[in-house]
Amino acid sequence: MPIVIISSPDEETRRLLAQNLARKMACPSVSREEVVEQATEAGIPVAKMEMAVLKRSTPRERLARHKARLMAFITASVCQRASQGDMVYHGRACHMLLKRVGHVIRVQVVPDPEVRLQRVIRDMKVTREKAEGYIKALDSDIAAWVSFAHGVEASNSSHYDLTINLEHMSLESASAVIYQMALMPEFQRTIASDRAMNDLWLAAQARDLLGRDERTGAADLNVTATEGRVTVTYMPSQGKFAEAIPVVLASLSGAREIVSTMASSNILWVAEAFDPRSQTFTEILDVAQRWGAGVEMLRLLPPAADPAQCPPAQASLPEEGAPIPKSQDQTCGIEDDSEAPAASLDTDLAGAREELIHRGRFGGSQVARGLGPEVVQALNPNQEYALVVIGDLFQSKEPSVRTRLTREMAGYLSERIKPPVITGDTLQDKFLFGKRQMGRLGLLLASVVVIYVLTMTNQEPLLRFFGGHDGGTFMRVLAVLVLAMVVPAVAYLYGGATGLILKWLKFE
Amino acid sequence: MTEQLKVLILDDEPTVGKRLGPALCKMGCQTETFVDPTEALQRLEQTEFDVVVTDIRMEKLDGIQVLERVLAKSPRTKVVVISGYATLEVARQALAKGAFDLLAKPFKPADLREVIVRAAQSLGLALTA
Repeated sequence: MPIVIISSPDEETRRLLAQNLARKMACPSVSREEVVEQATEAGIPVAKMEMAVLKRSTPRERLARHKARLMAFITASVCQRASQGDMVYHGRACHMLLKRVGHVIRVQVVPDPEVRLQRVIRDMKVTREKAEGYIKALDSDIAAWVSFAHGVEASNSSHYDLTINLEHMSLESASAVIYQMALMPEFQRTIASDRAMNDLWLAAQARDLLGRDERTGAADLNVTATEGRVTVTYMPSQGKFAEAIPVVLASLSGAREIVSTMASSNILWVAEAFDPRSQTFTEILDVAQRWGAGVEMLRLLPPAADPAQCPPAQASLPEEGAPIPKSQDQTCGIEDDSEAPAASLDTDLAGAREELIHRGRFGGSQVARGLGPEVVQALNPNQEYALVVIGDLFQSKEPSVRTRLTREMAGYLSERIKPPVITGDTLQDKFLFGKRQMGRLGLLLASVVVIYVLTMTNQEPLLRFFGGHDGGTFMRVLAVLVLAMVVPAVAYLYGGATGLILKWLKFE
Repeated sequence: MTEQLKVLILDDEPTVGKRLGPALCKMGCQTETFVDPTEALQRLEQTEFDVVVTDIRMEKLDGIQVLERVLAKSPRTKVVVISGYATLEVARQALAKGAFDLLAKPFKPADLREVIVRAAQSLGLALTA
């Protein structure tokens, strides 16, 4: 029998359905709430993350690390239970946990709104109006949590194998439908699906171990496992964790091999503000993922009027230390007061940094004030940069002045530093394949085809012309001149089309 | 003459009161700490507090019940809920029932002081963190 995973925003509905199904399948049902409580006991500040989502406060770097650890903890816990036999697991968006495992049925359950409303009125002893407000606010919070935790919309039906609306179906019938589905051959365990689950489990255990250990707790790591081979990738700015990674993972059982590897290079992104929803961000991330590179952000502020106020380039955040202590420790969740941090210049970095950590591509961040020379100074001499991207700068200037100054900055840097320097608006053209490139490819291919067709259908006159058989010296010189012009043009068209096709295939 | 803000702290873990009490006293609050919800409610029957800080998960009585009882007796009292196990569901429930704010453990006393200052402001009292 497969593992059944039930996702629903209503805890009571999914719990009742999971228990009913578990009875039919003669297996245990496990809830997200049980696993999350164990995660809290293990020192992961789940409540802190939930409150950050509830208050819609900007998640900080440390929360991103705790999130990675929580996801690893839950995945490891679910895999560990699933390895012992069948199970039904239910949560808010748990369908995202075992994505690549074949013997999993992912069920989305839409609760009956009236049943849910009546239950809230009864349990919370509130009016219908208040209950409606509570459900609406909670559903919005849960949607925000799913987006924070998994980076997807909970309502996206493409992530589910089955969606059940309980408005017109009883829990018993819904449970019977899922049970019948669980008997289908498509969802049975295979050697490949078991292997995929074991790899997920191994990677999750490794990530959890690294997160628990104070030597590696503050590192941003990407952990994967393939056929028992665990690969831990860290960004160049976090080389200090390199030695500790294999030591911490020495206690990991089941791993055939442990490989700790550093992303080979960094892309430096220079901008005044960093928006994780911007096109530049998406494009830089795309290039970084393709190259296996980290993204280092340099927030460049306009020069200060008084030079004495200029801060030197600085690492934006001190490394957060070891993981937060367990909830059951001697402080009972009340930490020591520390000096309130000075208003940071890097607030605008937070969102992009969090997203980069989430994608395993965070290569560090700095804040500097000035122009081109300050950017050159800010470059880490021990770091190999693959590319420098000049993003949005000179925000207070007119658009035309902004464009001119940005180009001047790119030109200044190109003359002084080794890695290629480009502006954000040319990133797509140079390294990515989008709609514009598709149009250009079509045009180039059409031109190449037209030239080939014309050449093939007019071979005789062309041979006569280029062979110089139709005239005297003038015609022969003309033929040479035409040839000298046509060959580079054809080469340009053909080369351009081939380059774009390779870019499309991500074969660079 | 400025009146002191009266704060009741309730958490079944004695360390919480020991750490939070002095931190709030420093900012000029008059604090009383309790580890037993029943005793805290008895005290609340006798005196009206400006702010009540309560844990959610306690053995005898949970924080939501304390919140209900406090607001039933004194609707002007601001109730701040603290918890290391707060979920979205519990937090929303607390807010729907009238909690002033929520703090997830672990937190620093300064975080609570900020909330207390806001609570004082909403009561029309002046206080600085």
